Amino acid sequence: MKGEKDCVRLKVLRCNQQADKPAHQETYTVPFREEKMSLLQALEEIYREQDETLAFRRYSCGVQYCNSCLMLINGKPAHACLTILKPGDEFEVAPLRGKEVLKDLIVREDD
Amino acid sequence: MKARRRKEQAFFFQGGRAILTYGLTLNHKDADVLIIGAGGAGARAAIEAARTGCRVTLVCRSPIGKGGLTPTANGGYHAAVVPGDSPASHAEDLVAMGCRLNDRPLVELLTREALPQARLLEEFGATVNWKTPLRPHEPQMRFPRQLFVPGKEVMTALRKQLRALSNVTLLEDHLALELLTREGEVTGALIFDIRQGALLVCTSKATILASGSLGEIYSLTAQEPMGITTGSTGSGYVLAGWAGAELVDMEMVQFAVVPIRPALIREMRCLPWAPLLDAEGRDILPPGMGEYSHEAAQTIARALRQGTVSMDLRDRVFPSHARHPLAAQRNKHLQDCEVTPYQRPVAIGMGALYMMGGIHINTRCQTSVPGLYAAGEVSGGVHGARRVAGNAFPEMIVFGAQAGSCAAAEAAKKDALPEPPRSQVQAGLDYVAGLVQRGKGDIDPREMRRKTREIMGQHAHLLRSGAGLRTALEELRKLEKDLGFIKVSAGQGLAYNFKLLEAFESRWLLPAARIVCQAALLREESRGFHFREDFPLEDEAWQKHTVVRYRQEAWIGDVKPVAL
Repeated sequence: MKGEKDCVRLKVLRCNQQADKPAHQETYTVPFREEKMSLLQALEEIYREQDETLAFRRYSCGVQYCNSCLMLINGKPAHACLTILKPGDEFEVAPLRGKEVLKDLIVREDD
Repeated sequence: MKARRRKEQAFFFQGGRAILTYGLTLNHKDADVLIIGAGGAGARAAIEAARTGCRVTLVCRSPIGKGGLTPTANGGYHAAVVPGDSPASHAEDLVAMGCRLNDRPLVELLTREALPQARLLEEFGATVNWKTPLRPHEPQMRFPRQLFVPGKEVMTALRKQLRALSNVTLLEDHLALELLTREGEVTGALIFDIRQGALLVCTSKATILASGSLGEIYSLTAQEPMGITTGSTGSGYVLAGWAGAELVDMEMVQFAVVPIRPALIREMRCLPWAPLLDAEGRDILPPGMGEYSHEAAQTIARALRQGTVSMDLRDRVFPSHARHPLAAQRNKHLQDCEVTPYQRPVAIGMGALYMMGGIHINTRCQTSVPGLYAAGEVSGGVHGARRVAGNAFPEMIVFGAQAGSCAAAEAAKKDALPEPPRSQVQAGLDYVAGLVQRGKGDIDPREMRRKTREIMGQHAHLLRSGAGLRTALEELRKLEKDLGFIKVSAGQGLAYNFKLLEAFESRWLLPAARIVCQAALLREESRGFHFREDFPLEDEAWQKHTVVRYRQEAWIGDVKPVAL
């Protein structure tokens, strides 16, 4: 297990009405496999390796075009794809405010 | 049109009770034209079909414009616009560069309609940069042809049109699982509603597959920006195959230079050609080789066998001039990451970029199965053995429009909607229920994906051999046995259950990989992007399509002539 210096900690606000899970925060520790990683990649790593139930829009245009990855990052709306993480970082992640939450970080799209 | 909930499922589906106690809901809806896939081709088809007045249902596995490959596509769109050029010259160049494997009538339709359709895109509201570069990108092109309209721009314009059409029903977060057939004709699809975690039967008078590519059968692919899936898992090819359609030239996968690390910059595939250096710092490409050419790709693939290949653009200036504000924005973001080849050497590999082969179509976009059409990257026969960069965009728009028009015409000739085939729908329900209820079996679909990609990367990549392909097929065959033992625990529910979606995708990813291997084994020559070490030369006798068909639960190989 890598030391704290090589990881990033994400506190994710989750909820899943289908499974009767109200909003609650879960903490994940994600190791750095490469020199740079985006928050979206960290979420993908959690889904692939740690928690298959974590739901987020698994799509990335990678450059802030599509807004699939918009979420509250440390309380402010931001793009997960271009939030670049450094080892030792800690972030709070939550679904966008003011939208219906469908599951975890997935919200209903406005047309 | 509201979906009707069928509460009386007891007499609709015998033996369906086990499923009902689980709580899986089945809805039903119908359409004149059903379109699967809402990228550039699907969205364009929907507009064209809807304009005839028929009822269109457009199915998209994500929110429209936020999935697949169109939104992140660079934006090159080739058409004959400069003085002296013509659609006929454009067509000739494409056939020559496609190594004469293209179906000529398809290429002629593409080149003839490229410019008119670009003008229509502009009328739809897309900003098109009409100024072509001074010189053609590729040595074999006789004129510069590159117009520029980024994928996002295309989707924004098409969406705007779609919103204004009241006869288009857009089903987002819906994933087609299977085409429904009755007496050899396609009559609709079984669809999974990701948002509700429910199943939907959609019957239709005509169906269009515009479901994109299969790059994710390889671990390194330009079809996964940041290493995150775009759903390019080959569903359309397999769905069509299961329904009886012919798949042509499935060995023709285009590879391109893709950064391996960090995955953050993996979509930086459209780089200007730059010195590619081997581990000793030597240039590995002779000057004058075309960008994205198969010769260059094969040379790099050989060098990769010897060691690391790096791309080093430090002596170049990061392009400040971009042909569109979106492209400029993208350049800036990439530069801010500080890990691009302009800032330091980046290890590269050959990643899957595009699929030339696919569902065989005629000039009306009809497949070999009545009631089924195909358009865009999922179709085959347009690009032959090598797609010329910049021609995927006109392909998706021209054939998207054509498929929409022709499917609507077919629908108009039919009075009655087909009945859903009960036994097939029941089998579909059983399949889904089986995934979540299975008593035994604990195969993780994420592992299936990983192993498939590993097999393809090791034995069926760019440089192929009969022995390697046979090994790949053997290993894929073993892996296929695990498909029946995939289990998805449904404690989290069925809506936005990504493991469940991955289970669905395993059912395509694996056959898609096997089809590529089978076709590659069939073609005993080297042509374009298909290279066989045991048959390294082009063979005139092989100027024909490989064909793969699904018959009696097996994928069978064959050949057919190229349309000249």
